[in-house]
Amino acid sequence: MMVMLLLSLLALTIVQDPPPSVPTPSPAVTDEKEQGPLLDEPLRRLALSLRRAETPPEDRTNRFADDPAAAQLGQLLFSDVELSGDGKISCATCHRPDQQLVDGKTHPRGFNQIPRDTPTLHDVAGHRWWGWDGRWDSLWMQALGPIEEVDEMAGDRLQVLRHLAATKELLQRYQAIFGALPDLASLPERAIEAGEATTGWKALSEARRRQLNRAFTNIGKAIAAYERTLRGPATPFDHYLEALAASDSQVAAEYPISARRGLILFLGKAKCIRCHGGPMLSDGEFHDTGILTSGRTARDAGRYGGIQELRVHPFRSGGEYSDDPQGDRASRTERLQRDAALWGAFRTSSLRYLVGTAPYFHDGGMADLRSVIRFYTWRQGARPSGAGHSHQGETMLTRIPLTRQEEDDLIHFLESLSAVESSPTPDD
Amino acid sequence: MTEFDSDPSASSESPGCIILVLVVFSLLTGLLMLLFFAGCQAPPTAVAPQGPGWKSLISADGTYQVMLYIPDPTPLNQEFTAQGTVFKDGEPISEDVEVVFDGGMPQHAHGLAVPVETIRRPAGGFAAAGVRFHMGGRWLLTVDIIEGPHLERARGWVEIR
Amino acid sequence: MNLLWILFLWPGLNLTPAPTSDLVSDLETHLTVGFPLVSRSLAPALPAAICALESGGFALLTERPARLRFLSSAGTLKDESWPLPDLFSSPRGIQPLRRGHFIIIDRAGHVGEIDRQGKLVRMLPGPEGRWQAGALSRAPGGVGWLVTDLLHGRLHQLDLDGNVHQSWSGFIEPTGVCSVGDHIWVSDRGWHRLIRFDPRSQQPDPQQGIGDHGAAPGLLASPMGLCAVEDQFLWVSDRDNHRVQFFNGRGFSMHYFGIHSMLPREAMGRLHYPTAVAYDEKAAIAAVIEPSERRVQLFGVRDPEVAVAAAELWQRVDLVSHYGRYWAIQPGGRLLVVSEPDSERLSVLVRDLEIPFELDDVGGAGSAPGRFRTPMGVDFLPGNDPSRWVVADRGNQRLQMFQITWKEKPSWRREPALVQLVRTVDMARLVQQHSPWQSSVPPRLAALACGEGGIIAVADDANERILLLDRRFRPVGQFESAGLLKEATAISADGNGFLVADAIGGALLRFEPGQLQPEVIDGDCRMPVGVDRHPDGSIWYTNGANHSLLRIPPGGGKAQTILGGGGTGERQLFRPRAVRIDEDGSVWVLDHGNHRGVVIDQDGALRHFGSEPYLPDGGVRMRQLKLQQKKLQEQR
Repeated sequence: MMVMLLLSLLALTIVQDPPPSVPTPSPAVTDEKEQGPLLDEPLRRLALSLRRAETPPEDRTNRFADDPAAAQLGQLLFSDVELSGDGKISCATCHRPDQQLVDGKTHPRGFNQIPRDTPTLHDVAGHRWWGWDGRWDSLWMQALGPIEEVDEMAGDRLQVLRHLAATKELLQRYQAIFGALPDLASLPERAIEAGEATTGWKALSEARRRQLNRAFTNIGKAIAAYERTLRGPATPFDHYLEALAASDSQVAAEYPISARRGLILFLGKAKCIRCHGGPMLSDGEFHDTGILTSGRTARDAGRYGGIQELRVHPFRSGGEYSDDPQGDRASRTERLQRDAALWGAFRTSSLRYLVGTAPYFHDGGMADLRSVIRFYTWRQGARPSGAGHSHQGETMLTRIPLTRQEEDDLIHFLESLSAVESSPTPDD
Repeated sequence: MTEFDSDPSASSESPGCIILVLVVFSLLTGLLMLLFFAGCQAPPTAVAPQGPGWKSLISADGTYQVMLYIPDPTPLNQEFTAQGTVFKDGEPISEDVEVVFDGGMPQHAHGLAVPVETIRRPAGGFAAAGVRFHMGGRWLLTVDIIEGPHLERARGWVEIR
Repeated sequence: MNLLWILFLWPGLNLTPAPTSDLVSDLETHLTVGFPLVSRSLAPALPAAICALESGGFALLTERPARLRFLSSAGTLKDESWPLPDLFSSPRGIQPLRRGHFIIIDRAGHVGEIDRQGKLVRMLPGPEGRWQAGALSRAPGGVGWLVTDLLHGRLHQLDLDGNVHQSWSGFIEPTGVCSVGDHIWVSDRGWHRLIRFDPRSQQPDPQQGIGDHGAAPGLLASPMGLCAVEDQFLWVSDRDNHRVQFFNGRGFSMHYFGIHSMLPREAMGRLHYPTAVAYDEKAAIAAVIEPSERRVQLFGVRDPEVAVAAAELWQRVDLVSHYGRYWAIQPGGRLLVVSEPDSERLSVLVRDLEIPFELDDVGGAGSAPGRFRTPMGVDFLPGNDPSRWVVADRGNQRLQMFQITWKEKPSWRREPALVQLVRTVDMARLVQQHSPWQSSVPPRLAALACGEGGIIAVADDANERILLLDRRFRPVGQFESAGLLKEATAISADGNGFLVADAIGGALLRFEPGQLQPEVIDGDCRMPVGVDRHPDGSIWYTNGANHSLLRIPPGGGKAQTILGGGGTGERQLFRPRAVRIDEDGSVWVLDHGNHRGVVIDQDGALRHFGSEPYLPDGGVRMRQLKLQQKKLQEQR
């Protein structure tokens, strides 16, 4: 009797596979219900999940990541035009300090001259992957990419090192942090030409190439140390969240009502938080949202191509130039697999600092925020999807008709994620 | 196999109360025994979940029981280790049996953004580090148990709000 | 309008990887090939292989009948054709030799040299033992030949005398091969990749292969014949994407042409399952063969005056999914499961509606459980609680069992994750472990049926047998009958036994457990590809050679044609495959070549569903019903 009773008790505790059903919508959010400045649960909890992190996540692959001296060197290098092939372009040329760290342009790159929009560097250290296609898995790795990219700075690691050696201030700073530069005598002019390693570079011994690569990656680490300090200014939304956390209804009430309504839509009816959640308002991963493409943009492999580039790149987190080749970041990269479902998938944008960083999307295809919203809500500019179409792309993006007022509210909310006043949204 | 005793001994005074006392006493003794034996051996046919975050999944043909741990509340956008133990006929599976954990959102036609590797641990254990649910909603968890050429799947759901 | 062709050309012009100036102009030319010039029908023969001739033009091999033909680059198909030697009834590759002869291979594993009149000059030894030839090309440096073996997933390099010089394995279904410079390229339909390696120093590694299963530029879906260009580039017939892609030596997709034909037998630039391409470099003409259409088409350099079709600019990234060769009806239920190898999926439909509604699907290309590499035979297990079915996953050499717990209520919404994977079995491993099954050739799974008591019968074409398993995928026996059974093209449960259609042997057989020999129902059947028993005792089967559905009356006798003729008409079929008969006597025919299903109900009335352009009314009724369904969906 005892055993039977025990077994019955145990049987009751076993969780059965629940019958599959259409998933319940996330938190019962109604915009009909009047929400006070401090919001009711669960909205409040969801809103607080968007709070900015105090410090950027640790980066053990770069042991100089939080070194102030490295950051100072990095700052100098960031605006140094001598890093480019023609001596005219620096990182700051496209990531303009006076323009929200963007240039408002898209730049064609690579074999297919595929256009990619310049992303802002505000809070750039908070990402998980860098690049629209995630081809870089650390900030220092990303910093080095454009330097040698033919269509960007068209520079070369050997030229960069020679410039460093020839510039007293840079050299002194470098040596104080990283030690002596490798011997630069009898080196070829360039290591890379038109995307290929030069014969001169290949002729060097492996040990010598390693030394030079290490010095080059040190430069990347210094730039990354600087970029980690690029914390965007506090925004009205940040103030609101602080008030929410402190339950300060007075300060919370200063947040524009329209933006608060937009936030409620963001968390509820418009379902933006599904992908744009967390401190960066991005899940940090990759989705094919169904952007209509043609010509060159239609050849953009996105994350699929990014994974293939990353997995074999010597500067990845699991490579020998990383300071944590066995760590979490490296493990993540090593676990990546080729997946054709990620063809044409791009990184979920962070939604901070959108004002002044138009155009939007990886190809700069959306000129303003209203177009972006309509892309998601009315599926304007999206590929046809649904029955009869493919299994490719995000299947959850369906039409969510918003009224004009709701669109305005959502725009106001998005604008409150920036510290810059927007220009009036054009009437269409 | 103990037969269910449907005719407990009764006293001449209040048989209902005595029966009740005996039943409660049996339950308590049973629970005590369970607690006592839990550390020594698994019960013959089923294993109880051990607390919050633990789920019991039964494979499709009932061959295996998987005790799976996912932190509770289920984390969103944070890496964690999914781990657990697999039992067959109440006993932990042997070392040569492979276990593969995976997760996905079939409603959104995608799996984990970064695949995970599952390692075996002693006494039927397994662990998959680096699991990250990058979206809220319903996640389907699957545990595949592979013995020789045969694979059997256990699955369950978890919801992140 | 003029701007449009610039858009088309622009990606091509910018793709130059800094070669010499002479090569730049040739590459530019290649990158503008794709303009349809001419289409030549080869019916009733199917084109099987093609190669370019040094003097210009092309040599073609056909099957059914097996003949050698010549086509000029101007599009003239010479009337004269020559029969091939008997051993080459199913040719699979042709390569020119200097003295005007050709090396050819046959599916059955023969290699030979023929002259320009198709006469056999000599046989070459080729690989030993049983093998199935897939493709043929020159070896790097022109010294010898490369042949692929579909049975073992191998590539062999033969010397000039046809002896095996070197072999490589690790392929799943190597459907094409060519040499580009020092490298060998193999197209593998199982991996949906191009696998490139230097034979002097490397082993082929499919994990490093180029491409994956998909429709975007640079992805591939069942890549087949390859053709080298200037020893630097290659054309790839990207079969299930209905296009031909152009890659450079580093595996970068630079260009493609060909659009999926929307209408039946549509030509003039529309492609439908192209399987091989040959290229006349001097004339910049590509010749593409489409066996399903019985034709060869020529494509040349785009005339700048001609506008680019809008469809060419629209870069779809989705795979078009069509019914494959096998489907199954849920016993006593509403469901229909059909394998769709084009998209490596299995679809589950609610079948008793005027147009079946797709409830869920499972799969995607891959090796993980729940994914497929060429799903083939499928059948439901007896019993409906829950409803389960088994599918033969050929490329992964395994069986997979799924179940569905769908509450039978009217539902017009697709519900993902209704279908659950139950279990799988690695058949290659199981065969090795179970001694009565052991063989030197790994199993090649195809047709499948589930019989009484849950016995699963699955064809192992590589070993000319049918393997029997129970519900837990444990071996219980096998049917083999050396000589009588060549290939179990289709299997269906029949009482305590199984009916088998053998397309290669040309026979309809019935196997029963415990009996040593099968019963021969019809030993002189032309290419039966589907079979099932009707409740009234008759046997219905499909004939792949003359596109018909036939009925053998109960007790035997002459087969009567019910539907026939290769076409899209109401009472026609085109390359039909599976036939499944419901308990109520309705006959479900998978009209594979017409991308549709045909149902003959108990009263003889016909119903069609599937791809709209292939429906008898052009899809008008289907569109109306779909609209109604969509409205109902939106109302929910």
